[in-house]
Amino acid sequence: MKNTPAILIATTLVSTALTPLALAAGHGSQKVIGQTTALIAEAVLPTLVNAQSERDLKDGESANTDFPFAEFKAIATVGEVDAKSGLALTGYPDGQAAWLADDETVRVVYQSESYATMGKAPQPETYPWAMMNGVTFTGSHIHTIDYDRAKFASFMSH
Amino acid sequence: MVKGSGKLFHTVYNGFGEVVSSPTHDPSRLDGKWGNQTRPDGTLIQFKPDFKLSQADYFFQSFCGAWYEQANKYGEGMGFADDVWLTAEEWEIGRMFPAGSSDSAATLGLASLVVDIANETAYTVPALGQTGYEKLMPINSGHKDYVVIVAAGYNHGQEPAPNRIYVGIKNRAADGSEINYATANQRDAFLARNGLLYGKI
Repeated sequence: MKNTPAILIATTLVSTALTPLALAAGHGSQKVIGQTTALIAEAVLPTLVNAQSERDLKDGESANTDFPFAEFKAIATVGEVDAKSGLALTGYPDGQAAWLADDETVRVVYQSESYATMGKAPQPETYPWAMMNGVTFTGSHIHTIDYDRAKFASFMSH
Repeated sequence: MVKGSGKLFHTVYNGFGEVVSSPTHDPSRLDGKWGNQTRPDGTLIQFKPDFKLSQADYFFQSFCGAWYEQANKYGEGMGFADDVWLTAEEWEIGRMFPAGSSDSAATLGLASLVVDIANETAYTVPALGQTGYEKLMPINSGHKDYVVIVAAGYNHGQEPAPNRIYVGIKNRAADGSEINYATANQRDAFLARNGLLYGKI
C-alpha cells in the first residue's frame, strides 16, 4: 500500500432515494456524511479505453481507480447529510483546507461553487444558509466537517 | 469518524460595513443589502423574473478559490493578526439583471471576503475591490506593517489584463490615518489589524 493516500471530497451527487432530510434541493441522499465510499474521480475516462469499459460502469460505484501517483478515499460526498441537522453538503466543492479545531478534532472546510438561479439544475438554488440574525443566503456555502482525529488518522493509513 | 458539520460563519458584513439584516427597498437602510444587487447609493436592483431568488433573502455567488492562513504565518507580527479564510464571489452576473452588465456594473460588485474564523464572522473587504475575483492569495510582505495579496480573477474582456496585487497597511483607518482602536468598531478593528481596511491595488 502506498504511504501517501490522498483525500477527496467527491463532486457529484449520490444516486440514492430522495429524502426530506436533504435540505438541498436536488441533493437527495439518505446517506450521512462520510458514508459514501465510491469515488467520483476516475483514473481514466472509460470512453478512452473501450466500449466494454464504459458498459462496466455501475451507478454509485467507483470507476477506474488505478491512479498512478496516489490513492484516494472519500471523506465526504456532496448530497450526504449531517446526521443531526439533516443539512446537506452542497456542491461543487472548490477551495478547501483543514486544521485542528482542538487536540482531538480535525476540521475540514470547503466552499461550494453554486450559482443560485443561474445554475443549470432543475432546482438550482441551495437551501438557505441562516445567519445568527435570521438572514438567509442561498448560493455558495462554506461547510465545516469535524472528524475524530485518531479515527481520521487510522482511516487515512488503512 | 465524523463528529458533525456546520458552516464557517454565522454573521456577515456587507460593503457598507453593516451586518447584513433583512432585505429592504429603503435606500437609507444600508444594512438590508448585499452588494451583488445594490448600488452604492443603497438602491436595490431587482433580478429578472427568471432569476429571482426563492430560497433565501440573498445569495452568495459562486465561491471559487479559498485561502486559509494562520495568524503570524511569517513570524511574530508578520502576516495577518488573526486566523483567516479569504474568498470571493467570482465571475460576473449581468445576465441576472434587466439591463445586463450595465446593471451589474452599477452595483457594489461581487464581494471579496475575509472570515474571522475564531468569531465565525465574515467581512466584505472594500479595499480589495469587488470585481469577481477567483482567488485571493497572500504572500509574505517581509515587513510587519504590510500585508500583500495577489488578487487573481477574470479579464472581463480586457486582453491582456494586468496582474493585480494588493498592498495593505496595518493599523490604518479607511482614510489612511492611524486607527484608534479604543473607538473603532469591531469591523474596522478586525480589518485594520489585518491590513485590510486601508491599502492599494
